[in-house]
Amino acid sequence: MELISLLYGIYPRSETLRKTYGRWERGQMDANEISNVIKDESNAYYDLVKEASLDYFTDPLFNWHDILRPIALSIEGITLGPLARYKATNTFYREPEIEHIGELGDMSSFRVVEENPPFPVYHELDSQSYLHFLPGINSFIKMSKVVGDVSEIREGLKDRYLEIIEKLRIRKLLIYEPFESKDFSIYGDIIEATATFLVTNGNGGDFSTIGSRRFFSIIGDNPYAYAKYCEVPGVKAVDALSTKIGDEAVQRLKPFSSDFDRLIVSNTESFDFLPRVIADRKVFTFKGGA
Amino acid sequence: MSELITQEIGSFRKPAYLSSKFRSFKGDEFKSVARKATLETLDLFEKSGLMNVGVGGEMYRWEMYEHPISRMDGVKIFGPVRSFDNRYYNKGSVFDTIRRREPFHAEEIELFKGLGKRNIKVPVTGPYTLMDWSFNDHYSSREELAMAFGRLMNQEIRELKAAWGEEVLQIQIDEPAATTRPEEMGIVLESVNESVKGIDGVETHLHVCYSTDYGLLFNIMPSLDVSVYNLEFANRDPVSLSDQRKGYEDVKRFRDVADTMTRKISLGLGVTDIHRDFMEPAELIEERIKYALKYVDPDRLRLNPDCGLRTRSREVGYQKLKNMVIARDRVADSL
Repeated sequence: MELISLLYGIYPRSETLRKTYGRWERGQMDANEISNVIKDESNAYYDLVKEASLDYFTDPLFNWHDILRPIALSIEGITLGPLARYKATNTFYREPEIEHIGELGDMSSFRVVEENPPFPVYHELDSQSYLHFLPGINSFIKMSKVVGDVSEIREGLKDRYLEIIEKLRIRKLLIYEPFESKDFSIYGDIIEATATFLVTNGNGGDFSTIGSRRFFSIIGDNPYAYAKYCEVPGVKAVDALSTKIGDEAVQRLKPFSSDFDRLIVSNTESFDFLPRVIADRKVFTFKGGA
Repeated sequence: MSELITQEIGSFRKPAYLSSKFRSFKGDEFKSVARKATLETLDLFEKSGLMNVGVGGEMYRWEMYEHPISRMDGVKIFGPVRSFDNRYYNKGSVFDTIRRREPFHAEEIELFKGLGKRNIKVPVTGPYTLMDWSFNDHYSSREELAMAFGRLMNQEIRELKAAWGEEVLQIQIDEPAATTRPEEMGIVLESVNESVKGIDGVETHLHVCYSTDYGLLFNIMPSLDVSVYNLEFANRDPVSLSDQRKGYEDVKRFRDVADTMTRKISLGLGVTDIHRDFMEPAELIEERIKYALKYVDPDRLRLNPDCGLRTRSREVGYQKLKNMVIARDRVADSL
């Protein structure tokens, strides 16, 4: 069985970056300076994932305060509400309040925004391995306070995502649904527009509504449930909620080895839940090396 | 005077001379600076009219999780993880059987005993929260780890009580994570009870805040060995004057459960929001107290900020305490 490695989500900030943000928040550094540090840190991350020979990786999202924030700040009609707990963790995000889905703002230029480090949203790498990251539409809604009509907002988000794909000329996209979803029909147009990796939670859900279209990959806990809806199924195996370094990923994948020719192996959650020093070691464990 | 006792929850903003070098002070130098900060904070608390002064704002502790964790064997801190935005905390990894390497709060007890202060309350971090905020790379289950932390806290509280002497010692178990996972309320119950098991002469408080469902906590109250529940309410209450205090509706639910118990329990009512500089006028705090008094007798009601005031400046923190005391005195006079 061929293993294909994938690292997705927010990567933990280095001490340098955390301290830099602290100085910026205290007004001791201007937005241009911090933007340069984010760029440098992103480049160092790309060097690391190349050294680890990861097949695919998302942007490190070093200027994302949480997995929704920059997207929420880019769409008119969405404002930031109070802090809310992210699942059953000790990490919090600002709960978006969605009244309607309006125009898409500029995501790719340098600009100062409220309540988040300066944009651009992504620090792209010209590489076949690089994936843009977007939070799943179903989870976005679940994690928000929705004032307007839910189905209109769902459709609106999909339209904005299609616009993002077009404007940024996204070739490969990773969508992360941290909450269990039942219905994935909303992604039909998106998977036609670009090669899409979907990271799901739970055992599957209903993919039959996407028709004959296929994701490039669906990554979850049970590849048997979604293998026929994608080119390459995947399994979340590298534990982002444990500091143990070992061959857990390989062990987790062993039972599937006789049933699949190729399998993507990914992290279970953003590495942002780990101390940076552990994350930097775990990137070398996706295919077994500790 | 045992009606409407005013108390703080625990932390208070450290003076810059302590916080800026907190991690670089060594041994006796740290003790001397932390003592100075504690005495200054104690002075502020007493000037505000606070009836229970806690431990003077937790000047010996960097924060509630790291302080005990860094005094244990079997846990290693690899570095910070994000709490929110650019705020991080040092999260420990439990890699072996945990043991208390040194006492967590002995210095505070010694100081206050030496000062002859009797009106103190010692906050300690609860076993469930310690478990929930740690990586568990050793114990076979979350329950097993929570109970191990419970046994360590029992050892700590037992020693604090022994150092304190004959008089009743108020201990506040801080459990901000208590209601995070509804399915684990049984673990909260067992591990908190383990922390105080077999220790006489202690009045046990439990502090929970920012819960999305206090009902989960209220459900286990009859079985919890806790006498006072210090809870956050102000953060969820509008600041306009009105006798309908939306943020305090859970007080009635607290009363409903308390009424079913033969053992008397008290409520510590959060009356000021520690997340905002907005200065609640005494009139607003008065309304909040009066609303709660519809359901809880004055000798069963204590008054406190929602949580530790470390998030506010010392000036704002002081004024919030002062306004709480003014409101309390007005209400007490009208009883």
